[in-house]
Amino acid sequence: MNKKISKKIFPIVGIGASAGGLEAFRELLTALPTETGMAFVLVQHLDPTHDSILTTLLAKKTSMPVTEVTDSIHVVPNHVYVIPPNKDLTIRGGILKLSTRSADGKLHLPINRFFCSLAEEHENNAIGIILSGTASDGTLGLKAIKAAGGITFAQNEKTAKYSGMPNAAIASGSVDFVLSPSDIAKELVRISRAPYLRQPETPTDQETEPENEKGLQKLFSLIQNDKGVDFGHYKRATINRRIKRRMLLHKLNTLDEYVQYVKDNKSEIDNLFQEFLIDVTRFFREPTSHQFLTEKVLPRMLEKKSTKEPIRIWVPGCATGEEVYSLAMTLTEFLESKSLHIPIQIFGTDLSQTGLNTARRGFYYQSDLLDVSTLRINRFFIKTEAGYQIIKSVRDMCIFAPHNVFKDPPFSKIDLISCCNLLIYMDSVLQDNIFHSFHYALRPTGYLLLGKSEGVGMTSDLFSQIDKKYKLFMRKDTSSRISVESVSRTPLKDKSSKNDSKIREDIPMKFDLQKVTDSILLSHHTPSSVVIDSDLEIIQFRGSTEKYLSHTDGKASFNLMKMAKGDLWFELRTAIAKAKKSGKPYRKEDIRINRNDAVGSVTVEVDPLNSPEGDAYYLILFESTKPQTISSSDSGTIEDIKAYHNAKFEQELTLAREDMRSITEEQEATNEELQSANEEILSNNEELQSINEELETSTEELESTNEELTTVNEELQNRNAELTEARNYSNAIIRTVQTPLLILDGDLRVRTANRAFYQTFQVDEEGTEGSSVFDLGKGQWSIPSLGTLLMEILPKDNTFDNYEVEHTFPTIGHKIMLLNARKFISDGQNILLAIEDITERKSLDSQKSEFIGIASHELKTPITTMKAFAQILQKRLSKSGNKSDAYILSNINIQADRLTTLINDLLNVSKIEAGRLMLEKKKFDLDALIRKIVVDFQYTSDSHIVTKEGEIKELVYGDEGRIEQLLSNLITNAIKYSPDADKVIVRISRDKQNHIIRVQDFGFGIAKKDQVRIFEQFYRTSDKDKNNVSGFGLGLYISSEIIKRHGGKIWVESTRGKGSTFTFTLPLKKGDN
Amino acid sequence: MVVDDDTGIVAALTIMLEDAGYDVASTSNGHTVSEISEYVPDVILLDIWMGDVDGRDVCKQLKSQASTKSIPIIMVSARAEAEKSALSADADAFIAKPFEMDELLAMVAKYTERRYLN
Repeated sequence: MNKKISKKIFPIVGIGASAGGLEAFRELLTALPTETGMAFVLVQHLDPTHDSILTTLLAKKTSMPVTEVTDSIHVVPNHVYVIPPNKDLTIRGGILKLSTRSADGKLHLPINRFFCSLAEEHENNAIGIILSGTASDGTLGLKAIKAAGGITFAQNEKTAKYSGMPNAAIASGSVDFVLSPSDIAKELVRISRAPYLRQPETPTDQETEPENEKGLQKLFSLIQNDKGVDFGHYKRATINRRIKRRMLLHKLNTLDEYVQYVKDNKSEIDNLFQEFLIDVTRFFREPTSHQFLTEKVLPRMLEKKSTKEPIRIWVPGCATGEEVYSLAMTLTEFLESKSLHIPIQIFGTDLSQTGLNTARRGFYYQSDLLDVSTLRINRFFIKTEAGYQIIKSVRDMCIFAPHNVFKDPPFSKIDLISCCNLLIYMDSVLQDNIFHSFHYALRPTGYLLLGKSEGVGMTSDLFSQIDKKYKLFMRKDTSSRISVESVSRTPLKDKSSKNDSKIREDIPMKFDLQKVTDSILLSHHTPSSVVIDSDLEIIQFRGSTEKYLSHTDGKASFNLMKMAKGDLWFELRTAIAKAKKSGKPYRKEDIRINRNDAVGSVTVEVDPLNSPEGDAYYLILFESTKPQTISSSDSGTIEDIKAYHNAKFEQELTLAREDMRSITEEQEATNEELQSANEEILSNNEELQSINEELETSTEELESTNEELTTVNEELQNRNAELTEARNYSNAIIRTVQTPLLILDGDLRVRTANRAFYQTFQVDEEGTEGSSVFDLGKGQWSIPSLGTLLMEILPKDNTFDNYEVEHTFPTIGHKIMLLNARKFISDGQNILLAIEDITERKSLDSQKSEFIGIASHELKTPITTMKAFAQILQKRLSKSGNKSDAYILSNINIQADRLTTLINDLLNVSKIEAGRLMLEKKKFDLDALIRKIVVDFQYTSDSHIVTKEGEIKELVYGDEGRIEQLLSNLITNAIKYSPDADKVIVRISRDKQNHIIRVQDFGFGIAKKDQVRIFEQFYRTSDKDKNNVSGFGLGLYISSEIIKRHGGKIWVESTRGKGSTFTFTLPLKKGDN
Repeated sequence: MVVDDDTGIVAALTIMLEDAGYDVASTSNGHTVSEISEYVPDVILLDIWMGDVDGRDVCKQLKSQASTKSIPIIMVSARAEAEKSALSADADAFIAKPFEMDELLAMVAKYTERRYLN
């Protein structure tokens, strides 16, 4: 016991977070002082596959010890505990327990798990905080904490990085404070100082302390006045805990202060009322009991029902509707499996309007649906952005209405009442009341399902237990009385109905044999008589009736009651009523009447006469019985006479008593009927009210749908505005851009053109928009090739890029234009046509080429001269034997050749750029060409031997001169870059598509990073120090361009220090092989 | 005969050919070539671009008049791609500037020999 108390005297704060939680944790811990007397347990969603460094990160923010939870750790105050990854955390007996998270593929919700265990263990010492995160883990946990009397927090939207998780909790209505992390810390400090949390729950809480009781009664009466609900019979422990929670929230220390606060703040009554009604409920809370229902109860129930009669179920205390919908789902599935079509009505009732509103909405978060199978989720819910909406067919089975089960008349003809975990909050007086109510509501063979820990208690005479485990009871067929208390919301107040006639007796209609026998015995008399109809109007008279009947003053009437003399009418009435009731003759003897001051007596017999038409008539016989006189000659004594009279009176008295009794019985029966009719009316009224309520809700739903439509409309308007904005935006771009733009419709008519277009082509807007592109500016745009292109765009759904059009316009002269067009859909098919005037660029390009041509020509002329003179001199000197001078001159010659090569390279590049590199392709003998090149190099190179391997037997198609240039370049490079080697190999081979020519050297090799870029213009390898060779870096660029233009490929394979192999391919032409 | 508007070239070619044993006449004015009358050269080295004169026109003219028709003409140009147009203007051969002396001499020798063979 000591241990139990010790674990409860300090509060444990559970903090749950997911995405964005670290930041919030830090802020919260930073703002917390070290000595709060609380323990903090952080449950963060962590990556299951990684170790967490959360503990280390948080330890920097607080001077409290921060520990990652290891299994079975004892919680102490002023400590921070952090959940490790991939584990579930629970608390039991002040000890944190770890368990491996189940790998069943279900949603992993560690926050709910921990909070629920915290709520169960620590009740009002539990504090739950939900910080930043997505989805809705923790909502259920906070609900549980609040229900247990704990305090709940959620981070506000402004500070939460991800507000999904806190918002879900807030939406469920289980959050007491919505604050920023630092404000939560402040609030925690305040709570830690409150006496409420410090005191252990003592046994006195269970009972009523006199001073407390006074305050409580005040609160109860305040609520009863406002809400009409008396909580006086709710269990004190629960009530106390929840009142204390309210006190804590309002920073009040005594109950009296709180009572005063409630008096001053009307809204607190609502809050307290809701607080009392907190109920934690779940879908399929007891899955086995649902199974039990389908297997055992429902089949038996249906045996006794016709398929037209609806199945009626009542769920009192339905809270937010989960149990109602669970039953609806179970029933739907059950009926489907039996292929039955029986209408279902499930009444869900509760005191709490907020709970009912949630139930009516039928909208739940993912965390609410944990115990619902995926199959059922798919079947009965519609997934929306925020959660799950119950489908309409299920929703339509359920009727939700506010109803006080202790006070309001119950429903009637119910097949099953499911009332789980409601009774635990009530004391036995209320429970007893409820069971009577249930007994009335159920059909004779109706069932009652209670919670696991509940029973029918003292009213076992009303219910018989069917199943012990699932707490299923069946209504016993005894009479029941419901109590409808004074504060009934129905106008039919009947305070006394509770008190009367607990004991009921059946009223058998006794048949008086003796009287019948008498009447038959007397039937031979022919007494005077009348015949009356069912309204007691006399239709016929027989014999002399003046002794018994006379007319009355005033308006003439044949009514028997009016004509009967003296007290006879009373006896007649009784007699007629009896005959009427029994349908048999009734005789009443010796009715004393005063006749002319003499006392006589008469015997009356009433015989029912049923006509063939079904009308009831009665024959009334009057038989005068002479007063028996006792003659003096008789030997009778006065005593005899007295005795006779006494006997006579006694007989009369007995008759009168019997009359009385039968009248009383009759009245009681009528009363009984009225009573049950009244009850029936009350029940029906209740049902009508529920339905009315439903209708009102439907109206509300319609209104909210309307509201939604308005919202959607508004949204559409916003979208419209956005569209307009986007349109303006793009219009601004089109107007401003310098490139002329035309937008054409499907018939090639101009829809719009931009300012650049009007300026460039000197046309005006009026003459342009709406007219065909070919009619623009007096037909100056009718360019046939453009027409073909444009007409092909729409049918073939293609675009054209950089199509060059040269055209002479009458107004603006010769223009070269670059056209780009593409199709787009907007109000039909359209073409966007962008026109770029490249006339100037073109002329610049041609000027440039021309310049390079002339320049190279002009450069070559002096070189030619120089070279010629050098050669002349060289020749002369070598003839005269001056070898050394001749060598100098040969160097001049070589340098002149290099200059020529450079000039030629530049010229080629400029041609490639201008697209003017012309190839003269024809069939030629590549094998011979290579042989010739190899021989040439053999002459010029002293250092290297160039060898040819392989052979091409057929002619090749291409530009011989360019191929020669390319091969020479490759071999020259091969020699140049392998100064230490002595050979270069040219290999020829072929595959199915190509001739393959390889030039291999054994020199420096080329670094990997250079291998790709080596074919780029002006690119030179990075390590210049190693191979000190000059050049523009154009040779390989030109080579690769030449190969490209032949439809082949060129590449290099190289290893540093081992040499390089340049390979190029030339495609085989068809018919070559 | 050497015809080129660049006097440097004319000088170089003249010396080169004279060293090889030829008699060389020369002019740097393209206009005057067609008026050859004093003697008939064995071969003409004719530049293509000579300022305002196009060597190809000169070539055509020479080849069209009876007196000069049979003289072999070797056209010379700094633009290698001009070879085709030179040959279509009825030139007998083409050599690109700058040229190797041996190559040029071999070509001249070839045409002078052929002429003598004729």
